[in-house]
Amino acid sequence: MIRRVLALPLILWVIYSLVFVMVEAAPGDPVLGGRDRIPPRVVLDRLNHMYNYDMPAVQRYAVWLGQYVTGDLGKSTSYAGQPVAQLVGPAFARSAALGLLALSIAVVLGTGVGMLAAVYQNRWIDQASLVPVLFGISLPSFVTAAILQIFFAVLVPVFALGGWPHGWSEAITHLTLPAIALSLPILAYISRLMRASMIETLRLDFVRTARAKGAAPRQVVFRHALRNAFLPVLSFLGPAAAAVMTGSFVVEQVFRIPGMGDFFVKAVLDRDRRLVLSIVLVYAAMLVTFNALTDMAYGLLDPRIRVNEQKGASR
Amino acid sequence: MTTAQTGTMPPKEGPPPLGPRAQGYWAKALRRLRRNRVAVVSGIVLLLIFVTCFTAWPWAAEAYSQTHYDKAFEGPTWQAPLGRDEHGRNYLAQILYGGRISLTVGFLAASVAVCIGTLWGLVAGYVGGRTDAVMMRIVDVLYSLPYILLVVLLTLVFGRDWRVLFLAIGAVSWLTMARVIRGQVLQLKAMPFIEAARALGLPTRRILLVHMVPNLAGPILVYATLTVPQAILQESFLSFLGIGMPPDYPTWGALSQQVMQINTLANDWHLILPPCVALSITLLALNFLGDGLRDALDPQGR
Repeated sequence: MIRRVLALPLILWVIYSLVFVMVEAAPGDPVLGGRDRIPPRVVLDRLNHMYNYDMPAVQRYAVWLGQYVTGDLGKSTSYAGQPVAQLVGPAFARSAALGLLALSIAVVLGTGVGMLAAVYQNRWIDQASLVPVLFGISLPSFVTAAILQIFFAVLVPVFALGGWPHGWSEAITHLTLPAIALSLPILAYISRLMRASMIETLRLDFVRTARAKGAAPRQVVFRHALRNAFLPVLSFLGPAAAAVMTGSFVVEQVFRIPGMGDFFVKAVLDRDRRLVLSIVLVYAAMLVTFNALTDMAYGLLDPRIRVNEQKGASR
Repeated sequence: MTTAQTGTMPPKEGPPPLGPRAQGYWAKALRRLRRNRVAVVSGIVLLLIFVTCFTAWPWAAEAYSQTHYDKAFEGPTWQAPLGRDEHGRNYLAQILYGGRISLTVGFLAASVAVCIGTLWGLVAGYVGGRTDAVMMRIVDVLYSLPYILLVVLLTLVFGRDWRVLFLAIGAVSWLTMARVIRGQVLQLKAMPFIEAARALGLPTRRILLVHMVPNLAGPILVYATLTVPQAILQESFLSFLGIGMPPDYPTWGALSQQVMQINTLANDWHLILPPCVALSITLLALNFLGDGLRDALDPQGR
């Protein structure tokens, strides 16, 4: 566990180096990108100095690395030198909120659907559980998002067509559709994973023992089998978080949510190297931390590890 | 077979007795696959989609990019069975041509992923020790990375081109492959025939390529099939964000993104379904076929 925490800065440093090389290799001038007119020579020199582009790349690499170590995300060239942290902060909060919401929906519903499908294997509930799966794996999220929009915001105007909610009262109308669209592919995968793992768990000896001692069927599933069957889902959460992030770029566009997707695509097109670097690093830091957390949860949830610990404590 | 039986049975004359034929791995797998009706139907559907997209025979007379502004938004006719878009282009021809691109990108990207993933898993599993630990740690880290950012960066560095696109998508989709192959290699490494090959002093490269790879063909085939739909989806995401294929390529992703608008729904509903249906049927069929192959080829795996 301690090794995990120590690995985090190392991983981020590797990612920083990799992405630094990529943005440096990209054609196009970072200072001129996103500007309509070429500024006069004097101004250009000052701009290059301001954004560290007057120094050799190796030196720039070191300077920026130093800034990241102190938590400084730098200044954006395409947004007139605004500090990146201030610039993307609100957008990041919106994307993160939407992503977390979608991930929770996917985990809760996916686990539920998968459990039901496993318990009622080969019955109609099992077949019905395929419907979200089919939608989730067979259509890109921008299509499901548009379908949801058309049905639930235009034909039956229950939810908002798009935009970020002003205040909590609008949260349900504005966030439901994007969160569902974003969670669907992950929900599909989790429900399949959960179904397979639950079916397997229900055949294990300890479940049979629980049944034999007379535990109610509901109790067997929830108290005994669920914890064991949930483990594969838990180890999928890391990749799921990465998938939510990718999906959110797309879903945000459909629902006109001012999130990170806009910033990233625009930063790439404008050759705003510092903005690209910072966005990738923030996301990487978040995802790597998230992965480390799920790994720790794995240890907490795995019954075998728990049993061993209890044995060790009693001795 | 006959030599094994001579010890227990009295020697017989004439042809050897007709017992259950010894079946190889592939024959058994094919039988299991043929019994899986969903997988068989998926395979046939895929074959049909392929043939239609790549021959495009009845509609090849009219190029997908041919514009007829006088016929814009025309409904279905004999010449254009799916109608025409806002530039009067033959919609069916566009769908077929788009399928050709989407499928090509998907398969090429999957091949790239298969090559990287297989090599990575082979080396990590076979060499083992610290090399294995470091290589798999890299996979773990990449797994949790926002891969779409990397694809975007790669297309930024190397320009917007279809070759760059499939290379970039392939370069980020090999992780599952590497994990699966490594697991298989670890199992194979403990088997007597590999031990024998090593005892004979064969060079490592020969052991890997001649003795290992043929035994990995099953999982490679399965995960290649499952990587193709992923790659097609990723291409459609990139098209949607406006950083995928160059704009004049009507991939299924690009087409379904263009038509997903409210006014299209109100006025030109006939344009909405075709690209979405084509995309989803292909993705579903590939997923089902991949699952079927996995059940048939890899009975103990999940």
